[in-house]
Amino acid sequence: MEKIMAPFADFGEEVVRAENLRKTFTLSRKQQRLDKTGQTHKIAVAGLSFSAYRGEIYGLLGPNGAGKTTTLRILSTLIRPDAGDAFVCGHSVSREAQKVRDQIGFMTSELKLEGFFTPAYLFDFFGALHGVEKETLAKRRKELFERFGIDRFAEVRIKDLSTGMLQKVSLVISIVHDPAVVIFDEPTNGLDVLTAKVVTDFLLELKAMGKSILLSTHIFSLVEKLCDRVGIIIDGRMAADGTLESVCAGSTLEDKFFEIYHAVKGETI
Amino acid sequence: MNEFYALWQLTRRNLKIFLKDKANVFFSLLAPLIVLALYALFLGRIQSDGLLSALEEMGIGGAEGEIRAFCDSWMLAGAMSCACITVPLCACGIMIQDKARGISADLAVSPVARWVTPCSYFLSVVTAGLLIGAIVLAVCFVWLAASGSWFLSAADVFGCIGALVLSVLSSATLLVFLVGFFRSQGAFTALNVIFGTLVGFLIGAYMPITYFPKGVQTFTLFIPGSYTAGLMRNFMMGGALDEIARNVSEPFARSLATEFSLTFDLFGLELGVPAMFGALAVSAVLFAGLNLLVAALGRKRRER
Repeated sequence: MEKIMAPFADFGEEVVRAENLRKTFTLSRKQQRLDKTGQTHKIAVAGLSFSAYRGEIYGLLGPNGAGKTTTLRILSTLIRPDAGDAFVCGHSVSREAQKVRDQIGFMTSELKLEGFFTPAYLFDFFGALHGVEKETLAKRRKELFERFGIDRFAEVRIKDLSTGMLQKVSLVISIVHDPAVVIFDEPTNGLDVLTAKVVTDFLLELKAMGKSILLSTHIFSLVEKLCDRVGIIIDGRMAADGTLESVCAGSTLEDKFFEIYHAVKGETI
Repeated sequence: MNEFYALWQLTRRNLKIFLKDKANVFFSLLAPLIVLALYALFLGRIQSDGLLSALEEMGIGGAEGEIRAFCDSWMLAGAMSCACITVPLCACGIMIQDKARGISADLAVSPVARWVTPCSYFLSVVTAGLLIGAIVLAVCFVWLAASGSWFLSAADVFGCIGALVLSVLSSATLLVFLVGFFRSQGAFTALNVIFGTLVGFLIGAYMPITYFPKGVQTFTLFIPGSYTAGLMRNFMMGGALDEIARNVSEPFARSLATEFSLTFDLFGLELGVPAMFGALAVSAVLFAGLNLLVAALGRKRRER
């Protein structure tokens, strides 16, 4: 692994720490057929360690199947690691899942809102699930809806909203409980350029609000635009980790990525 | 946080999603509506003509009112029994929808206890079944009263309500267990179509179970819905059958009770109303236990 250490004086305390995470999945026969492999197990994450700091955007960059989503799912307590552990705001994802869930907002680019509900109803519903007090919830709704221009559409049914507004509603709902850490799996995957801009602006806005953001992507430009630091994952292992400047060392991120990819895999694209 | 408040919110949300989807509610009542349509089109006439001609052969006439009441209540018992199964089944659709759209993951990363979400699905399925079931039952009662076929006592009415509650509980535990294994909307739709098509036949809503071969009759005894239909028939048809026994012919009424499966023959053992209630209760407890077992195994698997 090309470990690029950098002084992180610009960043605050550590909010996410992954320590030697490992996760292996059993492949069904169907998956074996699809992957054209006779192997019954697939190592998704093979001893991954990294840290993310308060107020930064940290990007996990890697090709499809590198283990990015698995890592984020472990950090979100959706799955448990086979070995190793990760800590979010000091709480272990393995032993203190409930406390971790209090601290995180987990997002994907998929829209999961039912058409006949209104943004206000859904915001209150998810707020209730997160145990947010009614008064706090009302205050937070007013603040977030105003900040992201949703206030005029608060009582409009979801099915009558534009795609960009839908995406904003979906994103705002994910931070209903004011999480310290926002985990975002493939933020702009499958989105058109306008909606993708809504998402990237939203993430920058969250950063401005002091949130720590951890995202996964395979898009170089997204990392360059958003991330303070980047971890390059190849085959479930951290191949490089550090600030964008230190990882790129004068090259473009794309060139550096393929250089690292070649060094790790021994193959060129 | 208060887990029960989260449970209430989730159950309400699930229920709203089901009830606001008019198409889903309509399809949940498709099987009962088909029973009604078939009855109105030709089944009712075939049944009553057959019974009246049998009476004629016995030299008995003038029993049109009693026979029509008997046939009406048989059809309504079948429609009601179908509703007790198909409504909870369609309400289970929200479980699949949440999985398919990734909402399950959103719920899983919220700080509610793991038992809350599955429990909310179960409660919303039961509530939807009871709500719509109660409406269908009310419609059945109005039909019987309006058509002059009302021969139900107060005990029969309460019996119908009790059967509805227990049937919905039994169906909900079984269906939540079954649907829990499904991942895709397509697979669930297939299950829905198969259930919707077969349920009317298997519980004897389209034609009496005794018309089927012995093997099929025995098979239906292992379907909880058969006991729902048995109970509904007893409570809805019992009064009409008593009228036939009193005013027409007692042996004829006895043979009708057998032919229309007011009791079941389980390997020589006659099952009446208490046994039918018992079978539904056993099914509810059995599948509730299986649901808990699957939840516990799932938890263990996640912890490994």
